[in-house]
Amino acid sequence: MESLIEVKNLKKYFFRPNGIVHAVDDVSFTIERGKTLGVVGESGCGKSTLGRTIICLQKATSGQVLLDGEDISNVQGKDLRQVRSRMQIIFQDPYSSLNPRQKVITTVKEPIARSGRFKNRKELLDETIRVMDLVGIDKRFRQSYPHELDGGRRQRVGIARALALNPDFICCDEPVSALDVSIQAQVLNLLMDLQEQFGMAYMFVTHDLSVVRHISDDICVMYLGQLVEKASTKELFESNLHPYTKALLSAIPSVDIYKPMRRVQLKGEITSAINPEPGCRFAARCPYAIPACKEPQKLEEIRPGHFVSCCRAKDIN
Amino acid sequence: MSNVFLSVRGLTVIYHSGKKIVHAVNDVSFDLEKGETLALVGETGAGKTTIAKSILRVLPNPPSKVEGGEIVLSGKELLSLPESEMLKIRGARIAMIFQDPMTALNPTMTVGNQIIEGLLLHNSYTRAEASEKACKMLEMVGIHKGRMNEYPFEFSGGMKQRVVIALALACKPSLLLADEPTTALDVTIQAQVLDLINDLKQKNETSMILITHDLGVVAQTSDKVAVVYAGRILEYGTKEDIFVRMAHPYTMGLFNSLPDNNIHSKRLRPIDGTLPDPTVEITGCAFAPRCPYADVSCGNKEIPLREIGPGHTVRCLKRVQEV
Amino acid sequence: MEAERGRNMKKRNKKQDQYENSSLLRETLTRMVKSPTSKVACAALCVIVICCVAAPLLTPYKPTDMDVTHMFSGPSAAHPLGTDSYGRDMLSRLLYGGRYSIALGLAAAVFGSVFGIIFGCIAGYFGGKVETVIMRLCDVWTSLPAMLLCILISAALGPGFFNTILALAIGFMPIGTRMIRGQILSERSKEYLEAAESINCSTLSIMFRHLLPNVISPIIVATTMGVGLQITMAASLSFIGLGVQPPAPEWGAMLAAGRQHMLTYPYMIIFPGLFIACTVLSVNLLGDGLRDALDPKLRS
Repeated sequence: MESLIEVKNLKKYFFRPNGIVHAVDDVSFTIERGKTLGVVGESGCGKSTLGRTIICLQKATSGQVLLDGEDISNVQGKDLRQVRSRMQIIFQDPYSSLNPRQKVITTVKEPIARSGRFKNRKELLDETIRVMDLVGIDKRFRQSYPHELDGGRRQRVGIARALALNPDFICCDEPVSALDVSIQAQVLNLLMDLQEQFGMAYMFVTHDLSVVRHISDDICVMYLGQLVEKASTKELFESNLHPYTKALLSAIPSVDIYKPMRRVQLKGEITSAINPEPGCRFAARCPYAIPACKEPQKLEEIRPGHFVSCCRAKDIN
Repeated sequence: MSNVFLSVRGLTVIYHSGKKIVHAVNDVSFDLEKGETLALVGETGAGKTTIAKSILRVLPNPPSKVEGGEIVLSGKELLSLPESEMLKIRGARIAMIFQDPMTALNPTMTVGNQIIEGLLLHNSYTRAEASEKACKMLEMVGIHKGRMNEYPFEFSGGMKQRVVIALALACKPSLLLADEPTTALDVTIQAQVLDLINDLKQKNETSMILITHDLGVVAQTSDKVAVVYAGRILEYGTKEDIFVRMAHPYTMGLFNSLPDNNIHSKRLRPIDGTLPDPTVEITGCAFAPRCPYADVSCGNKEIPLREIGPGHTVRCLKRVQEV
Repeated sequence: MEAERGRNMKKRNKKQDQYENSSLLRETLTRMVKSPTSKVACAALCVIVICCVAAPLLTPYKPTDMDVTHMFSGPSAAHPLGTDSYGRDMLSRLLYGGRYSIALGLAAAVFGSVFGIIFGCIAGYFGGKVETVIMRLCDVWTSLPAMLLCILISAALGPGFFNTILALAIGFMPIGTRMIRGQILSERSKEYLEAAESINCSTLSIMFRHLLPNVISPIIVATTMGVGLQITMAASLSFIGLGVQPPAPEWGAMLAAGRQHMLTYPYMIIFPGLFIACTVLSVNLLGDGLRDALDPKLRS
């Protein structure tokens, strides 16, 4: 069975007066139905841009995005509306992702009304209430404005809005990063329950590795627009291959107070994605860099299902 | 006992919000020894930042008001000091690292000038001497001294936070208040910054109060931990006490909801419910509505802090009984 | 145990319920009512407006009724505010004149704002060349002194009530455009607009249903303040002979007529001046109160 979403050599550049920002540079992967792909990386790695490009909120510079085998990179008009109803997004900031002047019920009702599936006002209202109940928005908050709700509840409204069109795919752009730890767990459970119930695929974009470990089936690691490693969650955490993945994982402060941190020391700062040099962008900070790293790296399948973009992957492991 | 550097007793702070009163901090007490790091752990709105700002006395008054308590730093009671005395302490003996590096620096001053300003205010250096010291501070935090005359917008988030740390440590304070210093940073930069703070702290024997919600950060940097909820300390003890011998249901709930502690189960174990409304006065335990162990006795009267181990106190009726 | 817990939960839920249905409008009105200056200003404005509207009930004279036996008579029992050079009752002229002046000010401010909002929205939302063209036109517009601009347009269009409104509105427009465009620039990056796009909202829908309600507060305040400004401008235009023509009893025209007799019959300029000043002051204070009430930082 073909994958739900296939991304082929996707590039998204931003053309600025002081240079070209290579936000997403030649990224390829697939997302299966009902599965979750985690995309991790630090600021500037392009993961948010990647999500927005896949769901057609931004137009790709080159490359293809296939939805059920059909190329949706250049859709317009009615086709675009069709695509949008199948691919939705949950935003990071629960404070700016809801219209402050719209009540909760209006925010959830709007996409349903626009889809035209329900002509009858009563049916429309019933459907809106059904969706709100699904995500656990209490009855007494239906007529509230966003500023009257806390972060966790606001995020539920965002989830309800994404769910309203019964999408096949939801891009979750750091949906729990702005929430407190105890609320994070509630929202993550909700997302997993919904996936079990409705079978949609997720692309879970985050910088929090412990969260992504819990929710994803496969994980992509990105650095400055380049895809450096892709593997199943288990493989990535237990036998990762790319130096950046190693550095990233070793930097997470552990809650085990008896385990000393064996951090991979990285040199310098994250460099810029504006007019970058060809080759591996991590090389400048990599403890294993050699001159060959300046050549463009290829994404190779080192083990079944485990892809790495590093010429030294075999030597250093 | 004689090593106690900072002692906070019965600190209570309120905010006036329209006609309502927000009980931000309720009867908080803790001690800090020289060179020690105390972590204040809790969720948003728990009152941790208010505690830190009360020590530094930078809470806007009105709408906030310190209703009671005393803060003693090396024998000096801070809350009753006149402002002129407090000016000498702020920045010199107590320094604060704020949460958001993007807004903590003045965008219209060069980073060098911002450090020099602090140095000149609290010492009798000449401008040239202060400039040299500022260069040294920047180098100590890993920024090349040639960048002294650059403006904050020319630095990345991690570097800005390092400048903020240089600023805070320039006058070699004895107490450092760090309010979520690494929350806004990437995890690799966070690791660098935490190492840096630890190094500098050890070199200068600085005591630190670290405010965070990240238990991983607490595990790697703190000596003592206070768990804060609704303006109250629910559990207080050494790092081992809290991480290994945790006693309060809220502390347990926090640890249980971490994804790292749920690797083998599909679902996470969140704490039900949400934080209480801070404008409503609470009788009894603030956590009771969300607590799986609570019963009628938990809502009756103020629960005192009970000692359940050497230096390990807990504000809970249920757990104390079981222990 | 359950009962106790339930009671506590209910107490907290009740507090939540009080927040329900607290729309922005309601919140704003509540805050405004709390401010004493707003209350006084509102009351004063209401009194002035009601008096002007109910003019026929308050005075037996028509504004054009001439009584040549009582020209230039000071305040008396028959004429509480005196008469002018044609024996017309000052009080009736002021009350009927208020209708013109206030209507001019209100209409000019509102129309000016509406045009300004439309152009500002287009400039802010689309950006690029469209924005550049509109904003540079605004720059040219505002580089001309406002009074001069109004005089030019008024002279070109000719005198009269509706032409005056048009002239004033066109002069007021760039303020609204600049303001809305600035607001949109900062609001444009908010994610709820992207969300609206992702649920298939059309561009017009995003601009007017989602964006506009969130940027409109400063413009409301500016329009309120603008009413005061436009009343003054209208008076100024009438003062120099443009704007509303005699015998229409506009306040500015009355000031002009009284100017020649300023030293001998000062009441002829004091009373119109007082009416203008009180109205403009009330409107401005109301605008101040509105601005404070809409200030998001003061909201919890």
